[in-house]
Amino acid sequence: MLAVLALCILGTCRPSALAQEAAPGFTPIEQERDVPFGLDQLLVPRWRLADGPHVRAAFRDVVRNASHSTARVRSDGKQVALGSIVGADGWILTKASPLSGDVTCRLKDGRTYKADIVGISGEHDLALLKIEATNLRELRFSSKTATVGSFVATVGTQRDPEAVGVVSVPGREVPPQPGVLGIQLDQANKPLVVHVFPESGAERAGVKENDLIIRINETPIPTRVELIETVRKFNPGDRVKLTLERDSKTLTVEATLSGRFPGWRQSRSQFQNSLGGKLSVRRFGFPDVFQHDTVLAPNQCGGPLVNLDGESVGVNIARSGRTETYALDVQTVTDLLFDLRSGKLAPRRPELEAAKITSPAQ
Amino acid sequence: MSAATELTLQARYPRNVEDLQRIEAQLQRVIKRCLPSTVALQLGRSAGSGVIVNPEGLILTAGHVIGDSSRSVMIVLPDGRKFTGKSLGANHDIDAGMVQIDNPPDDLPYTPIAKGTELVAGQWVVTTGQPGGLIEGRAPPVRLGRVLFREDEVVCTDCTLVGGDSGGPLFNMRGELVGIHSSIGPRVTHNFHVATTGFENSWDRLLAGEVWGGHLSDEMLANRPVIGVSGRTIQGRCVVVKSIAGLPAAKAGIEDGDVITAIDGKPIDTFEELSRIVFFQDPGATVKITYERNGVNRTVSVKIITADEIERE
Repeated sequence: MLAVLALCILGTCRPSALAQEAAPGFTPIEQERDVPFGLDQLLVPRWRLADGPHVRAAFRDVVRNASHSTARVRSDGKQVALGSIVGADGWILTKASPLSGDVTCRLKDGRTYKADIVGISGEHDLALLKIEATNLRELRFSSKTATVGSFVATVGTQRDPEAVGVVSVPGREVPPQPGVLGIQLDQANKPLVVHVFPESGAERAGVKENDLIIRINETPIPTRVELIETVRKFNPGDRVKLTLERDSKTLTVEATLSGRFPGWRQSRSQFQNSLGGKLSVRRFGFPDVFQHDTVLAPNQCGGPLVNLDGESVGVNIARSGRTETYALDVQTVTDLLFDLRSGKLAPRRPELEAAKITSPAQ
Repeated sequence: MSAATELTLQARYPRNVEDLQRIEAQLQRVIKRCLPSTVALQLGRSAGSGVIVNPEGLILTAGHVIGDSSRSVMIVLPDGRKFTGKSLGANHDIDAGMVQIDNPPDDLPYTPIAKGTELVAGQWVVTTGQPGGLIEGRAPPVRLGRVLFREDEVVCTDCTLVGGDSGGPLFNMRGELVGIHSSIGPRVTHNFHVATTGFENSWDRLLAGEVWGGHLSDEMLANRPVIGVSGRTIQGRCVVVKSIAGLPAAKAGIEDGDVITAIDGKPIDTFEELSRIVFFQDPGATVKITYERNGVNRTVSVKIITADEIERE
């Protein structure tokens, strides 16, 4: 028997014409060729994998403490992220963008709590949750920065880590990629919706043809151009509040931006990056993150990343590509924690905001 | 390398934190030694990776990164230094290629090629490269993995790769070059490299600038510049038989039956001339095409795209 594997030539990549795009675009090509391999590739023993169960088991002592400081964060019954316990009386950090609806946290011992979102940093995509629990084990942060080539383990609530890898690139800024709402606007320079693309963030939010978009969050949108520019400032995965005028009435909806137009074929870069697993929706636009090569699922972000000392060197914030996972470092997390806890970054309360917008005084 | 580290690396898998610490310390030594020699390569509008293998400025890369010999290459080192160079030979059967830096400085970082047979299943390996192309402020990302299997000169590891990494280096844990990145498959455990032993057999031919073998045609065909017309030479005129809807020529207004009389002001009489001129354009560039319809001449701007873009539209 001869196994046949369809391969994709890595190819070269081309800088994009769009200067504001973070990563260079690739020529859109999915070239395939059939390369026959022997039985070998079907019989790779799991001990051989650098992130296989045997290697992960060597990290058992490394993650033992931190696993008590880790929670599984669920939204509407599904795990959407991991969380890092940063306060003994129920403070848990997690990735913000996957949170929606009812949020609960399940601890290592199995106890499950309803969680309140007390703070959100949209800039870093980090949220602080509060659960009604006491005497939790606080995560220990390392005083060392994660140097390139250090082992890192993504801690879960099990005996062995969720996944392991090494630090690939020191901390740096990852620029944003423009978000897409998925609407077509009137050619005249007013923000009038003439078409809503199926499966788009706009459609899911309930935007309809002939709606006039008058505000995005708190920013008034007088023209078509300003609408386009404002939307592009957000990242794919960001939720924006749209204030619409429909039949002379004002209404507010919340839309999640996507990374590309629904129905548009993905570029070669997007195609290659999608090979081998799902990526976080919000995966670009971070002021300071370090990169590691751990292969994570999007719902394994938000929890602690520990070094071989078993101390946290950061919090996973996005699965960004086939070769990259991003983590916030300890300094960023501890600085943010202060603002998140103090209420300075309290999440907006939509009902109050909506009232403010429609009030005549505005 | 200490005996303990050697034993740990040879074992099936690490058993405890001490084993992991030994691997980590060795990995950091390898990075320190090898990272500076990882380069980004730019050829026209395409980009890939490579690795400097001697103080004279010889670079190994993938055959598909350079495509052909005697092409101008811009080489960017992790320390920011930029050099110009030329592509040498390519063996497209195994996806091996070479580039030579023009006027190399005395202090060029390089990584020696491992001697003898390497890359046995389970061996720990390190990769770098420029995934996604050169990104300002980002050092070549380091990835650790293991050899999963090998068939002849093709080595599969679980060091994740993506476009732009092509031609980048695979190192052993002694800090020697053992492979060059070539292709990926649908899973994160499908990352394919050409073993440097594959280069050895082709060495003199590659140095001499010879280009031979297999899938050059595929890549070249996919990247060939086009405007989206088919045609024929009829009675000494370049006639458009089909202007494909949605492609640049049709978008610019060129229709079936039009006669193309000039490109960028240069008169042409045959479809072959049109093909040849378009073939030497850069994708993304614009050409001015003059065509005749019902005795009237018009000149339009037509964007050059690559053949693979057509398949996707």
